[in-house]
Amino acid sequence: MTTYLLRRLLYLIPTLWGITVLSWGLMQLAPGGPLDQMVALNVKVSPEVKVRLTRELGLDQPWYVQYGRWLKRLSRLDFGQSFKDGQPVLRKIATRLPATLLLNSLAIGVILLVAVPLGVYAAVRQGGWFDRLTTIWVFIGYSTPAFWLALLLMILLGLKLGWLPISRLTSLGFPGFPWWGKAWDLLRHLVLPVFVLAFTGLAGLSRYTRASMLEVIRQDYIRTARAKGLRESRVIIRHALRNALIPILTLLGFIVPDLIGGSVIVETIFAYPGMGRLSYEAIMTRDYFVVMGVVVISAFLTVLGNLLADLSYAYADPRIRYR
Amino acid sequence: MIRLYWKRLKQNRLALAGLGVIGLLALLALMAPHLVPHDPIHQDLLHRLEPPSRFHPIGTDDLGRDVLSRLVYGTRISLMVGFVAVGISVVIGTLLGLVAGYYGKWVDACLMRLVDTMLSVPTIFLILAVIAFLEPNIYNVMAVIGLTAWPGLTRLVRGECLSVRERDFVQAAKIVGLSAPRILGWHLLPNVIAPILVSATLGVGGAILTESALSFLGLGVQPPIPSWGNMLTLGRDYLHLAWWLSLFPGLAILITVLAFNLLGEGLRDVLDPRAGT
Repeated sequence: MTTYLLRRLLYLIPTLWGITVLSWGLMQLAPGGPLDQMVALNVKVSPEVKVRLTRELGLDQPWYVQYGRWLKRLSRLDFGQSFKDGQPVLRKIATRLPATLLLNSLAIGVILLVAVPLGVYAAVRQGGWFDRLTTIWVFIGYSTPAFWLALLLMILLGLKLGWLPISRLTSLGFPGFPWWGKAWDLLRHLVLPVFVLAFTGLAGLSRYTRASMLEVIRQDYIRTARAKGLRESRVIIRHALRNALIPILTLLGFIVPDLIGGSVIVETIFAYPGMGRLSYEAIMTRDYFVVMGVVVISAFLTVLGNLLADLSYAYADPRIRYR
Repeated sequence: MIRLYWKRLKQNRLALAGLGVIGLLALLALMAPHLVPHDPIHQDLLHRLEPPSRFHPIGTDDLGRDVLSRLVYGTRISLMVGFVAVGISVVIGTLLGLVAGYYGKWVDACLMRLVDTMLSVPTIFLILAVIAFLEPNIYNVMAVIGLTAWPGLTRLVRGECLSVRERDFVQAAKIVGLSAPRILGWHLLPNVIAPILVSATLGVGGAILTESALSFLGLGVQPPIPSWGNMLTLGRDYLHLAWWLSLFPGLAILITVLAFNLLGEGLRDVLDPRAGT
């Protein structure tokens, strides 16, 4: 396991480095570079000041010096400051990240709780009406634009029926609520965003579970388990599902970037105070360093998610480690 | 060979339905000017936000424009973005995948790390960052979606290529002294075309979804050009007043993307029976 872990960590180095090059390259795309973007927001900057700023920020240096400096600051987790309010980018992101993590982990939880049983049942009754129904349903979920589903739910459940709040994470009087009132309020605000994220993210996992189950059910050890006279439910859950779940672990790694990406749209539409909405606001105001900070941090989170998925895969399936 | 595949595809009713819908949409897009009841960008301020009626089958928007006509014209945008973006990503993805799979060694290692990197940045952030620095318009949207969608395909093509490379006819071609481009184009490419076709079909659906999301956020196709995504932006603005502005454009996206996904999955079953379960 240790050698596997080391090898896996070694593979991370080029990827992490690649992420920094990619992000830095993106920054160079901005017309006129970061300085023009900064100056454009402040009319008081005179040409002389601009020249001085160019020198102070090192923008007159060759690109590799600039990249080196940027990398150095990055290694200290210094992502620069927001143009809009001068706050450090890291702090801005840090205040928004918990909300996004909450949203995404709830969505992953819902996806797992729904998709795995769906996939298992569809596989056990392969070709039956339940299987066919879920297949069609999964396709629809996969093809539904998340923001449209959000709009429809807002109209129906929020405006017409008035059951659920349609924006933000808390109500106006939130600080004054007792703790159970707070929890209830949070929950009500989370229902719609979590539902939208989960509905559109569910398809892949339930189809994969079904395929994985179908594969496992054909194996000899399942026949053996049945031949021993075990109850069918025990064969399916203890013998088949446990093995079928292993490859699904890697899929979880792929779901993470999709969810983080999807939360940009969902957070924006529900005015949810997370990292996704922050990045949208930053893009609309061309708040350059914030955009780059979000790109780098979300990429690192994705790498971390993939790493955890791979490691748990290797932990669950010893064959992987010795390959 | 092709006849055999067609025969198999014909048995897959869902895929066939997808193909039919795509054909219909293509027809709509081509014939749009002859089909629509009104000019899609003609404003009629006396008839703003009218609910569906006989004259405007699915209502009018905030400037009195006919939603149905805009919807039909939106088909053009969606299909164009879908096909062009996928075209770009298929060219890049196939080329890099073939090269990585054929040459192996350090070329492969470098390209695969590049793929890893691209796959670890959530695509939407990549696209949003680029669009933020460029001007949001339909050409940039097509280019950016195409330029960010290739890594998955590269990995796929490379994998296929690795196994085909060891087969006898490729070794024979090498021994005969054929040039690398010729081996890649004539001997490897035809053997990896099936998975490319499947992933391209699914990719069109994905690209249409991405475009609509970008346009919805105001970072894609700009009004007055009608796109399903930017029509939905109006839907959000008039959430309380005009449900028809939200319902129909989204339905159009759903149906279109669904059609491409059904066809793609059907093609997968037909072309690659191993993967089908």
